[in-house]
Amino acid sequence: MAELTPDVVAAAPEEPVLPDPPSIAKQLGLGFWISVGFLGLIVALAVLAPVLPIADPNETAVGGKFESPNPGLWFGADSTGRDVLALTIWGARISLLVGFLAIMIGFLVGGTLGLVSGYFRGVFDKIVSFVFVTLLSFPALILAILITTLLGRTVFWISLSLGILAIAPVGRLARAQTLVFAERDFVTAARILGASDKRIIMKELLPNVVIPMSALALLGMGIAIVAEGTLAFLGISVSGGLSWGKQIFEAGSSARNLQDGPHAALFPIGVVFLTVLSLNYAGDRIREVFDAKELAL
Amino acid sequence: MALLELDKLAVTFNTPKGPVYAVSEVSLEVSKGEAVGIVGESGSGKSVTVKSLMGLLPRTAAIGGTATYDGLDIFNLPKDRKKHFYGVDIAMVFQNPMTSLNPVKRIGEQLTEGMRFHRSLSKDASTARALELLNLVRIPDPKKRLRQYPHELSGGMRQRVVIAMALANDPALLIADEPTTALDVTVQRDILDLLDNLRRDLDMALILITHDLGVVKDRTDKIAVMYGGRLMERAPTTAVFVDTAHPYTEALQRSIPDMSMPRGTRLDPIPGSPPDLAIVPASCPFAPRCSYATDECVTSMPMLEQTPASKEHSYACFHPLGSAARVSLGDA
Amino acid sequence: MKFVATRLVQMVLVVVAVTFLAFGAMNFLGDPLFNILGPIASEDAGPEFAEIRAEARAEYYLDDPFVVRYGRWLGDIVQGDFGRSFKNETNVSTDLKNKLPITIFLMVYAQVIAVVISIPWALWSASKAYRAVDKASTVISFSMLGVPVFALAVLLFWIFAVKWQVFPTRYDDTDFFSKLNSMFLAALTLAVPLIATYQRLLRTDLISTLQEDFIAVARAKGLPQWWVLFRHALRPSMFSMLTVFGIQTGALIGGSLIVEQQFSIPGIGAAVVEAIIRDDFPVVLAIVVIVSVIFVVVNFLVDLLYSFLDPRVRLDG
Repeated sequence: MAELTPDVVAAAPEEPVLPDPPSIAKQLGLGFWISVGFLGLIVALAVLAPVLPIADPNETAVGGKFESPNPGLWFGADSTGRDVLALTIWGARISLLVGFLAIMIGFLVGGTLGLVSGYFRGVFDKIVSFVFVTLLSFPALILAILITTLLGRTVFWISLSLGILAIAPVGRLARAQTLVFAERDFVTAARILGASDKRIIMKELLPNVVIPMSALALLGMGIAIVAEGTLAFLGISVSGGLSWGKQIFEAGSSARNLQDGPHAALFPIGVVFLTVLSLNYAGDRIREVFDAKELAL
Repeated sequence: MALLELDKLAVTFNTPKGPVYAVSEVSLEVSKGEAVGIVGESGSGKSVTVKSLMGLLPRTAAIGGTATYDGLDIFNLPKDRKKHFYGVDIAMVFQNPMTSLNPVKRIGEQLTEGMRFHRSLSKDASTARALELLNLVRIPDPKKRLRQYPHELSGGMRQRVVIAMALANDPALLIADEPTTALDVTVQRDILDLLDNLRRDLDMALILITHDLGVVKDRTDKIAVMYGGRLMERAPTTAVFVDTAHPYTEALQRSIPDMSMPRGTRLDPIPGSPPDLAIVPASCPFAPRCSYATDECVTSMPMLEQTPASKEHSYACFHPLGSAARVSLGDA
Repeated sequence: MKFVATRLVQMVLVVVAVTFLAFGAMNFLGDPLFNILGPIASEDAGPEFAEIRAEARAEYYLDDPFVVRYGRWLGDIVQGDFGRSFKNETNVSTDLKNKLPITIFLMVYAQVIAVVISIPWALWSASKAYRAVDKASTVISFSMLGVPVFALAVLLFWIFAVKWQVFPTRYDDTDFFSKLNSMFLAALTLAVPLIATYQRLLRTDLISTLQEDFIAVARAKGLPQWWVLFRHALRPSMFSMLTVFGIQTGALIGGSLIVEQQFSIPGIGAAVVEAIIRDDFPVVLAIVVIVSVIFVVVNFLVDLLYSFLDPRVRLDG
């Protein structure tokens, strides 16, 4: 056997040089960043709506009845001459706000219940699981209708009713993830070291459960936005407010309006579609990259 | 004319990391009613060889050389002939009976579907034939079996079903790919004997693939020993054992237990591991593990040549053993 | 059989919980009498409404304590009495009896379209897995998932009913064909997200099934590709799809509210929207209960179907 002189080492057949594992940002891919960019644009427009140089969305006769899109009126005008672009931007405010609030409620309540029940197990876990199953047994929209009919149609109540719908799916995922991590060595180690349950949940479990949950947050927000749009389309979302669902309903529910000015419905449809698609795609990419298979359910 | 004729068959897999030469220059003849064993370790290319014949390779596989069946080019069968070729002319029995049967279909349906498709048999006629087949492979209570699902049968029983399925349309050639590897030792012999008897009774050619020389010793007319995707030795069965020419065949013989060995005989496992098939073969693939290997074996590739004793007996080695060795010495 | 019994008990428990929740909502979220009658529930509305107030109290047992109230109401429901709409002066049961079949027809129609399109699509894409055509079809099905039903309803209505006029804009039930024809766009709208969901799940499961030995065995038998796909690969690959089949029924119920509105189909979806706009709580309550029970029962049946798909489940129980 030859001695390992530098020469011999150099002559040895080279191991194929493995490139560094691509960064997370790279793994997520171009499509992910395009989606995030689009979502950022929509959010920025919604937030900045009051200071943007656009027409008042409630002002009629900004353009002619069903005026076609043109350089002065990008999205054209609707049946009463309102600016479709302004309506779409202002509509984003309620749609996004409700979607965001609903998911927040779902995460706060469902996430906490899931973490705690998955960590402590026992009777509490059984009860929580049964509540989740029962919640999932309601057709979602029907439950939302039940609550909004009784409680009223403000941003808060609509968000709350959609948030309640998010509790069960979020809670189940949080519970499943907690079960996985609660068995891991680092949790056992923390327990042996005498850490309190509260500390273990907050410091050890929560950070590990958050990443797969963030994918669900994006997917869930897409669902919540569609749900709000659906309620608005049915005329039972925030009363008096502008939203995508309401806008599409007003422009698209009658054959006559669609005949005369399809653009008034098609522009908001396109925006809703791209928003939901972006949320789905971004969530899907995170899920794939972090390989949290449970999310598929 | 031979029933099946392989001429310099080659299979290359195109993988993202480059080509893998799974089978190279395999030439072999199988006559009507003949039993041929293909022997080699895992990765020797024996399974890939028969899978290429059965059209079961993935799209990434490129096939070279020719294979003819009854004068027909297997890889370019006319469309109408191809429709009723596999399962009728050539049938195959797979390695693992636990996974070879569809778990959600009754045994009866799996037995009869081939007949219904290839021969347009009626339900009654195919069921009658299925019963006949189950009797043929000696499954007790065949009527009941037809209504059962695979998970209700034992492993040995399932392999009998798989064999019966392969026999459904009276194939002229049956390929059995390690048919007993996944089974209990106690039933292995039963299944092998069953195959042997069926071959004689039905006058069917049989290709028996195995990693165990002992399996093919008393059950074949001819043996092909493969290593690294290539033929190492090809000879009538007796010649393989009596006049072994290739060091690899010799090593294989020494690595298998034999009832006739005296107690205490030590088995010699072959040192090292099978070659990396991703490298273009330019030397004897067995050279790194061969105790007879010289520089010549590493720099050039031995070609298949005949022994002086028989033109049926070929080997690919620069340093053959047995009768071939004496000739080589004489040359030198 | 133990498996069936367990699921049956679970199903009953869930139905009780669902009805309890819904009835509880009417009784505790605000004044129950107001929820039923609206403004005339108040004594201030005048003595002429005293009679109707008494009737409503009797109909919904408002003088009993809550648990008894719930029990008597549930008893009525079990006997098919869904109460009465005081705002619309109709018997809820008779009203819904006419509307429910239309909605069920619509949902079945949508499922049929979804299954008929998604299964061949999934088989085709799985047999071409990872090739360009399969990748393209994955992009298409992913986009289909992202289309909100209300947007899709308007879009399809515009393209096929308004612009090209290949389908009628209004519901027509003069005969079976015109019913099918006038409900096609509505059913298709509901089916689009289903098609995408089924195709994605089925394709994934099929790809792994096609690696199985028994598929190679079937191919070695000389069976043609379509036979192998339909008769060997399909059934063992349908579990994920079947699981969501039940869950998707919930989405279908939600979607039917929208499409019934957009395509003016007089089903219970349209009825519930009307009732909400009228603040007619008894009707909403009845529909919530009916729909939830349908949903729970469908999911129960789906569980039973498992044992048909995989005989091994029957033994394992």
